[in-house]
Amino acid sequence: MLAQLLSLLAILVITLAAYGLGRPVLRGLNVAGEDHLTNGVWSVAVGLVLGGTLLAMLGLVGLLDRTLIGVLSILGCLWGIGQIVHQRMLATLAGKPAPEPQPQTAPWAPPARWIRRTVLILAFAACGGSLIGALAPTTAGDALCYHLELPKTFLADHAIRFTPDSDNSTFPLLAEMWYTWALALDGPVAAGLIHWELGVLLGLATVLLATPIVSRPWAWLAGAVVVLVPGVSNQMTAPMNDLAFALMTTLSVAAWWRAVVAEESRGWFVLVGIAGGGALATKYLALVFALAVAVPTLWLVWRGRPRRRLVLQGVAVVSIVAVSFAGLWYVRAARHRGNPVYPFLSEVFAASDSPDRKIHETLPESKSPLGRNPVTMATAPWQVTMQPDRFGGRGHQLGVLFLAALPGLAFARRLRGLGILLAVSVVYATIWYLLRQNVRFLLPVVPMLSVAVVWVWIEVGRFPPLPRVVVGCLFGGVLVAFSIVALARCRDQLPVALAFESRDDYLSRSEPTWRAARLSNLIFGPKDHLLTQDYRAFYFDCRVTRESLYRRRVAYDRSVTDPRDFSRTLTEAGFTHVLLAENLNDQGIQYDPTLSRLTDAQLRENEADSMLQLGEYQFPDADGGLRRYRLVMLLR
Amino acid sequence: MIAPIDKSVGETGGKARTLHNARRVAASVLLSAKISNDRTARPISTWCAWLFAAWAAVVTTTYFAYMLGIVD
Repeated sequence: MLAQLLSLLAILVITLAAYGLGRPVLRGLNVAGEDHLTNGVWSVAVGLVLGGTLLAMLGLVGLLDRTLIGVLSILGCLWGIGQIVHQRMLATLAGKPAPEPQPQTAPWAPPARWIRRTVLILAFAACGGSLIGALAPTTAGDALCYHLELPKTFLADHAIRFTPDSDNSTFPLLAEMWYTWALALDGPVAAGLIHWELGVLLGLATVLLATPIVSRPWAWLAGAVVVLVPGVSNQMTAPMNDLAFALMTTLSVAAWWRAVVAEESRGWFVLVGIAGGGALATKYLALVFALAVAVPTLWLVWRGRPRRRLVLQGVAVVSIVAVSFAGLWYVRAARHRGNPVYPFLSEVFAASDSPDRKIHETLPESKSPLGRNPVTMATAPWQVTMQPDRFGGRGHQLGVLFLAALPGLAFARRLRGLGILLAVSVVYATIWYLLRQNVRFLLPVVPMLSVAVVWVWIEVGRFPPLPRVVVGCLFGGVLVAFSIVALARCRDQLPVALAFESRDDYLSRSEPTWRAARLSNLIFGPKDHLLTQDYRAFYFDCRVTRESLYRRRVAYDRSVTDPRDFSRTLTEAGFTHVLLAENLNDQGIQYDPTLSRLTDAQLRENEADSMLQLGEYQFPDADGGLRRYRLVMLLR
Repeated sequence: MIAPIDKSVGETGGKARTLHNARRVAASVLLSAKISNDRTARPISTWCAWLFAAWAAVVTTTYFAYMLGIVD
């Protein structure tokens, strides 16, 4: 239980430090007079962008040290506490009441109290279920492959170094900077809790987005709908970067709405830039999202002369601020790979004879299960809802509420501001359809569509009684089901989350590479170098290189003419041991057998003084694959 | 004039409060929505409402059939 509490304490320190960084920015921009929710969400989000960027700069100059990060975090945390206490004292001395949200001017009644309470309870339950999942050590493949592996490497090297055998090492890595922060203070569970917190912030950011459109009481329901989406509650259990991306895009739209549609303070443009920069620094997909926002913006510019100057000024401010925060990742990628958006657009940036052109297609057919034609485009919402397995897996699905509710917009009245959100969503979804059809890339439109769902919900109040009851029961049933799924999903993690099971035992039964990692960590030091067939590398203390990427770069297998030279070839390249992961059935990911073939060939030559097998075990993976793992030491 | 009989007189306070709350919930669900100042809030036609309800029912049922493996 102490380990869990320390992980939660680490998150609290990070959150307070982020708040301390972000609050003065809001004050300086003159948007700090808002209600507690707006101030809190924006302060933490801006602080996370600033903190992550600061860590990136420390990493680029070789100052990424755990002690330094710890000291800065404590100072930031104390500063954040000081900010909160200072505000409270000022408010008490001035005799001012706590700032309230904007007054309720909507002509429609707020939701019935029992509906609001029920939906919020369901949302809390889903957050609670995903918190259980986040308190367990992560076993998510992508997290162990690069979201946590890269931060581990950066901390070990005290710098953000370029790793040629990792395609992800030149991605925008703002979310990974937050995980670096968490790893420095605690460990992988704290990193998982960061992503959980980002999910909660996404729900709260949706409340901010929805408030000026449907009023605050209904906005809370929009936020609840977001955290109940199966893909969101699932992502909250693992340190990925999709929720970070969705949070930043939602905040950028919310701030943009305040600046352009509501024509409030110009300071909101700076916040658009910070959130937009945060999105660009998290995923390349932000470039697509920027395009989706640009389309309705251009329409506003074309439509109304009074706003034209405001919008153009705003675009300039947003661009400068966003590039200031995100530019370093694109410059880094261009420097190391010759392509600022590597591995995408290799057809444009790579040399004509470069293998990147063939390996990294921007629009591969395999990533577009629907193909690209008008018929499948029209049926895409149905297919994505009913068969999410084809689009990245059930775990990332958006659920049925949007498909069921959004056609209700046909009878709903026009609502000021909602059209803009729908326009952004439609443009983004169209580009999604044309580029890469993975359902988790649709998470940025979930908050905007949730606002539309709530508007339909409000308009259902104009139905005759019986159909209103039917629709209410259907929507309510869907939300209850999603909440139950979020709770049930994490029952396997409940013992370790509540410390009834040790983290070691949990990983031994859940994570295929854990036993090999534990053995490797006992025998080898952090300076040793493992070549592995399995893509999951985080739990190894030493440097880890994926065999498939290494072979793609240096084609080491072609230089091995005599099986007895294989071990020497690897040791001369700096490797000290290898991890073999051989498929015993035809389910799940099928690893290329080159490494195990060459290793077995040398072992058959009875070269006992060149290789030594340290351990072997079999493990049934979550993808259905049964694999044999062998850890082999290279002696010469 | 004889005042109407207050039926809650004979019941205990806690039970009366629970019954009162239950009646309020049922009324808010079943009776016409009272959108306070919304003068543009004309009721939606019955056929339109049932069409939407049917759509929502079909979509939701089909979805759960897929998720539970009843439909491939």
